[in-house]
Amino acid sequence: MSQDKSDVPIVPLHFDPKVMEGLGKPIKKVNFRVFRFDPAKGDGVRYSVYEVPVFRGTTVLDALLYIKEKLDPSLSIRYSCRMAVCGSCGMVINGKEMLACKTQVEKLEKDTIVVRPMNNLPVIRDLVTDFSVFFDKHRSILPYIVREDVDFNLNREYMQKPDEVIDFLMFSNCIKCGLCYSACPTNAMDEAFLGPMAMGQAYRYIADTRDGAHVKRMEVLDASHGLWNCHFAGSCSDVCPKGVDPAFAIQQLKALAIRKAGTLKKKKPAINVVQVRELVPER
Amino acid sequence: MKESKIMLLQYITGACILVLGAAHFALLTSPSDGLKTTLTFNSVQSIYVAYGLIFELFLVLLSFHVFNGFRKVLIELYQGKTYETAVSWIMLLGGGATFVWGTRTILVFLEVLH
Repeated sequence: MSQDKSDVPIVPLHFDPKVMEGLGKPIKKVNFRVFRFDPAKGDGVRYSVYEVPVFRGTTVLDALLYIKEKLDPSLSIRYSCRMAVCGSCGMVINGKEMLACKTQVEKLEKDTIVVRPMNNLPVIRDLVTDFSVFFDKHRSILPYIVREDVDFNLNREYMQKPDEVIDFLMFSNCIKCGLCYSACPTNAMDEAFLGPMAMGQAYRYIADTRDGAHVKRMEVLDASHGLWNCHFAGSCSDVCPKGVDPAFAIQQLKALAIRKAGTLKKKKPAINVVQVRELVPER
Repeated sequence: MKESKIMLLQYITGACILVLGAAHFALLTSPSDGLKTTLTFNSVQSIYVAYGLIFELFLVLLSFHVFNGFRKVLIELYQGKTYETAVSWIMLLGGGATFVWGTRTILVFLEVLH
């Protein structure tokens, strides 16, 4: 027997107006002190101050785009996905490396926010830095799986067990945003230092059971500006927006290099082509 | 030599220096005839005569550890390949000179040299 609708108690709706605060109208106005530098003008570095209305959920990137759209179209910024996936909008916000798209202005709890480009990379203009050196270093550690024993075959997959994937899964989340490179105190001193991202990615491939280029990578890592220059400050892991721990990877690489003094042997060798075929069913 | 081998030596020498340094400190601060004679020539010489080889080993470890550590610090202030090579050679020569001079001192105490 169905319950009569009149028997259902009416619960008064307690509407908290604070829930809606900042959705329709701005919560407050925040001053943005933005780093400005245009090499074409040759007038050096300066900071421009802009007053930006902040709504609930307004990110630093939203604020910078507001400045660019409404206040100063000459401001240069680099961004793309707006959802912490592409790693384009890394910058130093109130002294700490962050992604502008992932940082909500309200959460910073400041009335003035200082925004400047990332450290340890040359500035192209305003908040845009040149990533060439950063990616050159990334390229130097062969950031891809190398298998000399297998002909490239699109119809095959290189299978892995879940526990083999866990060894490197965290490092696959790296979006190459450069925040770790900017925060690294060794990079600030030593421009030839490989940097946390490149070494974290080197570990990602060395720990991968499908890969066979660990000795080649170790030649790059086990050099005078490689992993031995890391002082384990941990700032790289601290600023990573994706929860990657490059400092851990570097310590692991040090242990591996010490153990084998450069002739690293894997715990498990990469499975050969015959084993791969046995594991993978025909499509 | 690969950097990992150099760093392995750096770690081993560092650990040994802790042990030998403690022994060195203990020897110098606990002479048989009281603290007043700690730094007298005869007291120091008697320690060198009894533990000359240990002092020599301590000197070898220190010469390597200190100058290699200094080399790593200076190389971090990257100024190019020439700078890096110069730093390495200067530190190698510095370590060698320290070792030679320290050995000479030990041999003087052992009265092998005068």
